[in-house]
Amino acid sequence: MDAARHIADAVMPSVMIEGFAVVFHAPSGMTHLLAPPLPEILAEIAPDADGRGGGATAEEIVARLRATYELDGDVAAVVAARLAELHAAGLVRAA
Amino acid sequence: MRHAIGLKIGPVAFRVGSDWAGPIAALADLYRDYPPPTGVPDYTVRLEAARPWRRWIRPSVTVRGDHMLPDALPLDLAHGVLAAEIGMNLQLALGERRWLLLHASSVERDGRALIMSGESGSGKSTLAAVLATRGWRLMGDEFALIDLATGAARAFPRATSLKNGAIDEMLRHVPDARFGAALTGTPKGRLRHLRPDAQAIARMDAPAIPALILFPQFGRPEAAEAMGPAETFVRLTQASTNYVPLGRAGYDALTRLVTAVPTVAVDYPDTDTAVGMVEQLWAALP
Repeated sequence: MDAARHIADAVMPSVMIEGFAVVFHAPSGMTHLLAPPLPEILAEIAPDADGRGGGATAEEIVARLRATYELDGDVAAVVAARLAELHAAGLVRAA
Repeated sequence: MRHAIGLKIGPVAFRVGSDWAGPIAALADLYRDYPPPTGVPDYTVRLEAARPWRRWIRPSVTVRGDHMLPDALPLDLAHGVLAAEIGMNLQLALGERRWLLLHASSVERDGRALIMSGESGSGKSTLAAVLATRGWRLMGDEFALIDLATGAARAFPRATSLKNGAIDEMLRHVPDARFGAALTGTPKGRLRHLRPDAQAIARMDAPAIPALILFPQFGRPEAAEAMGPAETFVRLTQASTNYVPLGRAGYDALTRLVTAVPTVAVDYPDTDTAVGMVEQLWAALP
């Protein structure tokens, strides 16, 4: 698996509304509505409230998600696809 | 400007200047019961001739101010009040940073606000005006102002702009003397302004806590359906004129509003039915 590290682009406030994470991305001023598992992936690679730390490889994200949730199927493929979407949306960048 | 008037509507002070006396006189008449503004106006609206000679020849009004839309068309001078109203709305919609602006009418009872959002033609203005004849306080027919710090709604009780069939409907409920002059052939069709009642003006500085959000839709069979907060959030971001420029403050205010306040989509065939539905929904609130 690719060893590139991914990190949430900023400290992003998030409010859960009806199963969606309503996320505010301050650098762009845009609000995103994210369906699972995007918020869960973001949470695993988010910096702390002071903007420090955060980031993980795709493999680490898969391991952390497996440790937290009961997951079936090809989790690695799902994480890779969703990470690509988060990169495209500007919410995740290379660490 | 040759002619000018200061207006204070809720917490917002305007100065409207004009090349012509007519629109200013009409505004002075429409807002004759409002307290005079003090201090520096928040927004300036200028009603100017599209070209210098157009002050006299086929006079047409161009709306100018701090914030402008590049493709706005000039209006006939006979519709100068409409031009002033458009100008005031535009300055607020594009310039306001103190409140989250929702394109919605609102009314108040017992310190709690009912907010009605919808497209032009949904009946939100008429419904607010009718509710104001049934014991509710009119807070506004165009914008609900949501306080960024407290989440409270502030009133912006402009003269209610009624179009076409809504004029005849309101004449059933309030005397003709409450109306301004009839404007015909405007881009919005036939138009008349209704002066807010004494209560709306006297209490225009009193905020209210949002208690219920409705998305009314006139001209359909009676139906009421609860709307989830996620859909409400998306629809209100579209109904807000300043959600994006407010940034984090707008996000905080709107997420708080939609998670705290129940929302219902209300279809109704006539205003009497709508008033009944509103009273029923209001009575069922916790």
